[in-house]
Order: sequence, then structure tokens, then C-alpha cells
Amino acid sequence: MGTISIEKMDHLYWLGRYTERTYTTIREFFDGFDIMIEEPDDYITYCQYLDIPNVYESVSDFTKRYLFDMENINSVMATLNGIYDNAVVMRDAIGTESISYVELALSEMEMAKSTAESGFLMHLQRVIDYLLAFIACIDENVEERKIRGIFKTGKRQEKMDLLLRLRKNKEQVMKAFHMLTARVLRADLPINRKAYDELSVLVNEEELCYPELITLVENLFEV
Amino acid sequence: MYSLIPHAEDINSLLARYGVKFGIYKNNTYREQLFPFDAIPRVIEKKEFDYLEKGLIQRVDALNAFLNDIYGEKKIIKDGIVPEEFAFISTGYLPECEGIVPSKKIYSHISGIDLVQAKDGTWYVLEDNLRVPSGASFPMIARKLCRRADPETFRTHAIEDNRNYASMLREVMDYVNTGGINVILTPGRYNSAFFEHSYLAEQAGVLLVKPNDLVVKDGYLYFKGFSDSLEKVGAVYRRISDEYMDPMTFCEESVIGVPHIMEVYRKGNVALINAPGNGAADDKGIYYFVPKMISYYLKEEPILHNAPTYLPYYEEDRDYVLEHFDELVIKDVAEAGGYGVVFGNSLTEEQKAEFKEKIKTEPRRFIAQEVIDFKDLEIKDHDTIVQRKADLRAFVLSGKETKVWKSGLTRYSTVPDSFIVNSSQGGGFKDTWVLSQ
Repeated sequence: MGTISIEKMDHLYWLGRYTERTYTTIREFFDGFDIMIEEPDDYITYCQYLDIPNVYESVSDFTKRYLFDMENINSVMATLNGIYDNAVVMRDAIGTESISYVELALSEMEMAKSTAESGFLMHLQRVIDYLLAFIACIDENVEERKIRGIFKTGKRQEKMDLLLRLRKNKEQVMKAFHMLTARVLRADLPINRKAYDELSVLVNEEELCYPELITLVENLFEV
Repeated sequence: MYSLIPHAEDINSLLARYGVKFGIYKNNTYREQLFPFDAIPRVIEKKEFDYLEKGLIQRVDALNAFLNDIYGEKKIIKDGIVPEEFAFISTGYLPECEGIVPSKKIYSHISGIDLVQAKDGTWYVLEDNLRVPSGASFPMIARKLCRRADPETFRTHAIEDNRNYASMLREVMDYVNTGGINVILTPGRYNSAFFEHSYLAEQAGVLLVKPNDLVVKDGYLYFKGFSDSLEKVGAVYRRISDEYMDPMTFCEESVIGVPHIMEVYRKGNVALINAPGNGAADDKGIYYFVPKMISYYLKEEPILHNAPTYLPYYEEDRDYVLEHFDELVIKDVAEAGGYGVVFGNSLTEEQKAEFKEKIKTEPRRFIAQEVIDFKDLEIKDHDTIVQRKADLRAFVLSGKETKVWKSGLTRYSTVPDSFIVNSSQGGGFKDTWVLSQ
């Protein structure tokens, strides 16, 4: 299977992005929610931190809707379904075995949704375990280098984008940038060379200019 | 045959894990749902399957001969075996396919023959599905997962392996391939059988493509790669109905077709699996003539029985149908998937009168069959074992040879006494074990 279509390339790329987004979001949520145990109103700060609109009424409303509301495009449930939607059409390329981990993650998320407040974090933990297994399964089982490459490129771009949005420190951003550069050099996706060159300069400046960097990262690939 | 019952929960959770689902539209909303699986298999003894195998091969060979004939010389019409007006007013007959000779002269590469077993053990063919029959992927993956949940059962029973369906399909595709890659053409994610399309592509090692991934250029069909590369396609296992296949030839509003694909096919530059126009042979009305086709083309006695069928098209049959309406099941020949099936005795007097009028005014639209009292199969329903109606879809693959897949899709009704087994109407499925000794 040497060739893939434009549409499948697009699905693979977004599969990578949604996978990273869901994984990192849950990891971040764990830290944020930990603070909310003592400081319930901290969800407001958390929304600002995540750069998402605060449309929530309380910590409990935030927890419920930010995690599980399918109508909310920022919710974890919505991004997890984004993984499913892009994975299920790629079965011939990434395999039923890989997709089974997405099915498990979705089923675990449904369980988290129906679990009393005290127990849902354990289900969320398993969701990210399954996502890691999904990523590993693609790496391990997908023979076609290009398919793995496009998926990873989407992941790396999303990682960089998220770290910038979360205003992570320079060391973390540089690490993500180096990993992204490795994907750029492999040229699995058509790259916007101008954006990449500007990004390479700006990311090395002493003070990171986050909004500009985010724009450049968003425009890095011509997908 | 009960040994899998204690493992039913494990098997069902594996089926969920591996996404064994079908899509369904209800109230204008698409949703995927798991296909209920029953852990008690249908068991077919070797001797019985040998008989079915012979009958199925004979039937499909005759149907392929009929399709070659009906789009070619039409000898069966000239010889008065099938009435001309009857054959050509079938909605499945496509004049656009006249004179086209498909690769290796095979029209129906994958035939899904629906059978039921009566209480006396006699098997009857209920329907021939020669267009886009689906369902093989379900028992194929279910077997794999049953073996994982309970290896001991398969160590201690001599059961034919059914996990070879995808390689049988690939063999057929390779055989009729006109030069190029093999692809499975799906209308997309929201087709009810999308799981099957994608799973078969994965298992057969062929590309799963959507219509806009294909393009016709200089009389050949190509797959468009993302870097503007074009790769020639030699065989398309298309899971799109005839009428939507090519907007330049058939339904011009179709947005799920490949423009000009019929031109390529007509030139013999691509194999289409199954061939367009097969509906001429699997029309519910044409079904009546299949035993006659077997005698005509193969000079053999039909091995498998048709369910006793009446064609209101013939005056004598019409009178019988109107007189014995309550004892018959009436089928609309244009419908599929369990729709358009009416049991005469289930209607009110007013409805009966209305239906009878329809039969009189549109006799070609209906067939009537004696109600076969299916042999019930055992189904595990919560903590008890209950009896339910079930059918068997046998898959016959025609390539270099005609072969019957040593398994099949056994569908059962979840509703007591209901004869409707279709998944779209709430039915479930079970594995079909063919014993090897």
C-alpha cells in the first residue's frame, strides 16, 4: 500500500492532532483539577490558562461540561470523538488492532461520564493509558513509514501549539520545537518553508512571543 | 455447542473493543450500534454442508450464465424459458450494460445466497443477492475473537476455519484484475456497512477508497495519491449501488459515483466486482426462474429448492394468490433488507382488500411465497435459552473456480415468532460452524 489519498492524508494529520490534544488536555486537567480540590473557583483561572471561553457556572458544571459535553467543541469528549472519527476511516492503513485502543478509550470515557465525581479520575487515567497504547500500536504495527510520519507530524505540531497556548516555559517549548523540526525535515507533509524559517528565528529569541509563534505553528503545513 | 456460553460476555466485550458495528439511520440521525452476537453457534454437519456447497455452486454458476446471456445473446428469452417482458422490465436490468463482457466473463463474483431450513430439515433458498451482498466480515472477526475467548472449544471441535474470507476475496480480485491495483470502493463512513468495507480492505491488503479518490483518464481508472501521483486500478470491489456508480451513465445526481467509470469498464480496462446490472438476476421475480436456469444452462437438476413461489404476473398464480392470501407471504420485488414483506394473515380485512387491489393493478411488483416454518435456533436470552427464527447467508465466490466460504452469516430475530432477521430491524448474528469431519 504505497500511496494514500489527499483525504486520508488529511485524516491522518488530524488523527495526530486530536490524539495529542486529548492526551495533553487530560494530563493538564489532572494538574488543574488537583488545585480545584481546595480552590473550587480556580476553574476560572484554568479556562484563562487554557485559552478557552469560560462558559461554566461552577466547578462542578466545568468538570461535567469541559470533560463530557459533546456539544462543547473544547470538551475532552469532543476531541476524543475527533480521534475516533479520523481513525475509523483509516482502518485499512492503521489497522483494527490500533483502532481498538480508541474504542477502549471511548468506552472508558463513557464510564467516566456516568461515574460519581470521586471515581471519574481513575477512568480518565485509563483513557490516557489507552491513548498511549494507541500511539505505540501505530508506531509498532504500521509498516508504511509515510503513514506513521504524517500521524506524528500532526502530533508534534499540536504539541507545540498546545505548549505555546499554555504559555509553557522556553525549555519545554524548545524541546517540542526540536521534535517538530525532526518531522519537518522528513517532509511527510508539504511545508510552508517561510513560516518554518520565521518560527526557527522567533523560537530562539530570549523572550518568547507566544501569539506570533502560535500563528506560525498553525500555518506550518499546507494541509 | 454450548461451550462458548460462559464466555459470551468476554466475546461481546471483544466485539465492542474491535468496533464490530453497523450504522443505522433513525429519525434522520446516523448512529453506529453493536451487532448483537449470540454465543451458541449454528452447526452444520460436513455431509450437510457438502450438499449445500454443491447446490450453491450450481446455482451461482447458472446465475452467472444467465447474466452473460441476458446481456449478450438472450438465448433463454428466445427459447421461451424466461418471458421477455418479464426479464426486461425488472428494475435491476440495466440496458446500459448491454454487450459489455466483464473480465473473465464473471458477473457475480460475490453472491450472498439467503437460505432457511424448514422444520423437516429441508433447506430452501429464499433470495439470491448478487449486487452488493454484505455480512461476511461479522462471522469472520467473531470467530477470531471466540477463539481468543475460549481456545479450548476450538481445540476439541473439528470446525472449518472461516478466517480465510479476505484471502478468498483477494484471490477473486487478483484473478479478474485487468492490470493495476485492487481497491475497495466505499461511499464513506456513514454507510451502514462501513465497518465491513474497512475491515475487508485491511484484511485483504487492498486500498479502501472513496469515489473522489478515483479518476478516469484516457480510458483507464486511476487512484489519486496525495502528491498528484496516479496509480492504475485493475479491480474495484465496489460497495456502491449500480444507480450511483457513474453519474454520466446512471443517476446523474449521484455524488458518490466515479464519473466515466462505466466507459473504462466497457472497454475492459477495469474489473467491477460485482458487475453492474446483476440486479437482472437477483430480482425477487426472476428468483422464480432460477431452477429453470439451472436446467437450461447446466443441463442438471436443481440441487437446492426454491421456496414455493407464485408470480401474480401469471393469471393462474394471481388467482391462487388472491384466493390463498392469508396463507402466503407477499414480497415487493423492489424492496430489500426485510422491508416490503407482508404476511397475508397479519393484515386487517380493509388492508387485505387494498393489498389485493394492488396485486391486481401491479402484478409484476409482487411475488407470493408459502410461509416456510423455519427451524428455530437456540439463542441465549439473558439467563435462558429461547427459540428464534434464523436464516443463513451463504457466500459464494466466483473467480478461477466457484467456491463456497465454509461458514456464513446466521442472522436471527430477537423477537419471538418474527421472521424478520435483518440487522437493520433489530436482528442479531451467530457464528456458523461447518464441521470438517
